[in-house]
Amino acid sequence: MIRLDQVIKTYPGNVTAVDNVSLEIKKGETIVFVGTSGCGKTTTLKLINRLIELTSGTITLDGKDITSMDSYSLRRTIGYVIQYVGLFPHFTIGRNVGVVPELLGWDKEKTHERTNKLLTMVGLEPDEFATRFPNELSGGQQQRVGVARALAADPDVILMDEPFGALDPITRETLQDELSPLWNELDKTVVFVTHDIFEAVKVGDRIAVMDAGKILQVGKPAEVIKNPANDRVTSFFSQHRFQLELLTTRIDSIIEKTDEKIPENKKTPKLHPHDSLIDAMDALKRSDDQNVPVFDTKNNLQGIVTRASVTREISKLIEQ
Amino acid sequence: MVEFVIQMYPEILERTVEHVYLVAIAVGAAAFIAIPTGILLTRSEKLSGPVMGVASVIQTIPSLALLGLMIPIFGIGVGAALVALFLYALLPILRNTFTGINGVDKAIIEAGRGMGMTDKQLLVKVQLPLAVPVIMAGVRTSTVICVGIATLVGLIGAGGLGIPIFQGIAMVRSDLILAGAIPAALLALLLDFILGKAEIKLTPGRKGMQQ
Repeated sequence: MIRLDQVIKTYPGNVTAVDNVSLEIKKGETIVFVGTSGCGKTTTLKLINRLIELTSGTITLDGKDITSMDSYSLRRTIGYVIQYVGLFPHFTIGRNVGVVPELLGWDKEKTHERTNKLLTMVGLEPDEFATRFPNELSGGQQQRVGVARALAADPDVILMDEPFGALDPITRETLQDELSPLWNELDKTVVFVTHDIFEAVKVGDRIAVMDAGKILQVGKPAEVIKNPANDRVTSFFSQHRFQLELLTTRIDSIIEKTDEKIPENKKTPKLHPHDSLIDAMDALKRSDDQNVPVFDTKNNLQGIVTRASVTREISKLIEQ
Repeated sequence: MVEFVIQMYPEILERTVEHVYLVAIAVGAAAFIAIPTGILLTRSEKLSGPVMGVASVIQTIPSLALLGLMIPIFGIGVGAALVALFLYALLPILRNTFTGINGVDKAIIEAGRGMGMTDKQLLVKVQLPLAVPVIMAGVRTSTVICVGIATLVGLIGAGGLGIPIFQGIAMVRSDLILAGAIPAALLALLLDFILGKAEIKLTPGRKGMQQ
């Protein structure tokens, strides 16, 4: 889908911002560039939509070299979300969402329909919000609009530059929980930049740890956390390694089959096979029982997770 | 008193009309030149320094001196007055256009560019509309300055409300001085008020731009 091949970006004065990065990003995946500020993650992101032009190497999108098309048309086919949102203050929310369709010359009715659909998808009631102005919305609501705007012309690729970085922790978590499933369901290829490793493992199908313009390691969050490629990757996790392991260890290996009938009760905690040990600990803490049922997305019972097996998994992590 | 007002009324009206013409033509021409120039300057950092510098220097020349300087070039009369007023009106509009456009939030510009807007689309759809209040504030400043300076152009034979003021000074008659000064002051307030209303009309999505 997106292919970076020996990509280099240097600035005058011999400053290398991106140093020979090669990476293949698969269709439909969310890849997270994570690293400290100045590691080159944002520059790499902006090379993809040519807000920054690369010095050497090639980037292809669906096999097409991005420098072969004009940069404006390229950007209209790629969604873009930034930290400080950047909604147009003199446009209503509806018109803000419809900016790219407007640039692409969609007719009014089609744009209007699309805008309302997207606002609903990001959890903003169109009747209530479409005619309001950005300054009447909270920061979290504004970034919901920012994401809707990026999705407006139905791009295959969305670039997100610290989209939740300016939000308070609670709003940030709500948006991560609500919006990342949305772009996954829509099968969007998402390139996501953050300095927050917890955010990275939460939203990323794969994470790419960057430092000094290079990618140190790419892989599934659990792999990278368990087997850091070198000391620099390890040092990036610093004292959070144990928490990150809890967060990235899925419960699917400790699900036990059961013949018991699980009574339908909304109040009792439930788990999903993709949930982490942290989720399991949380569910057990809320439960009066010794175990928690696991249901898949279609609400079929997969088995149970017991208090004993969770404790065993945790002690395994401690001993490692 | 009432008699004096009735007696002076036709002349003051005529002088006021002259005054308005001088200000309107000078500020209109200045806006016509300074707004596009200000936009161009935002595209070229090299040019913006020197051009702003020259405009600032003009602004510091005392108004009587500038009027005097105009006489050898344009002779006595309305022409010299208009050029001088025009020069004074340039800087506030130029500076406000420049800062208004440059002052648009960088995140908004980045979002616009990131969505594939061309420079022209960005200017027309985003930067200019957002800069309207600032540009209009420059036009208002220029207008008020020019109403004041236009009271001096009577000295070089260009008419305006300065005429009764200078007559009053020469004849030591405060009623004549006030007959020029009061309408001039009211005119400044009135024009500022009208332009304020125009600014509101001209600002798109104004509700969204209030803090």
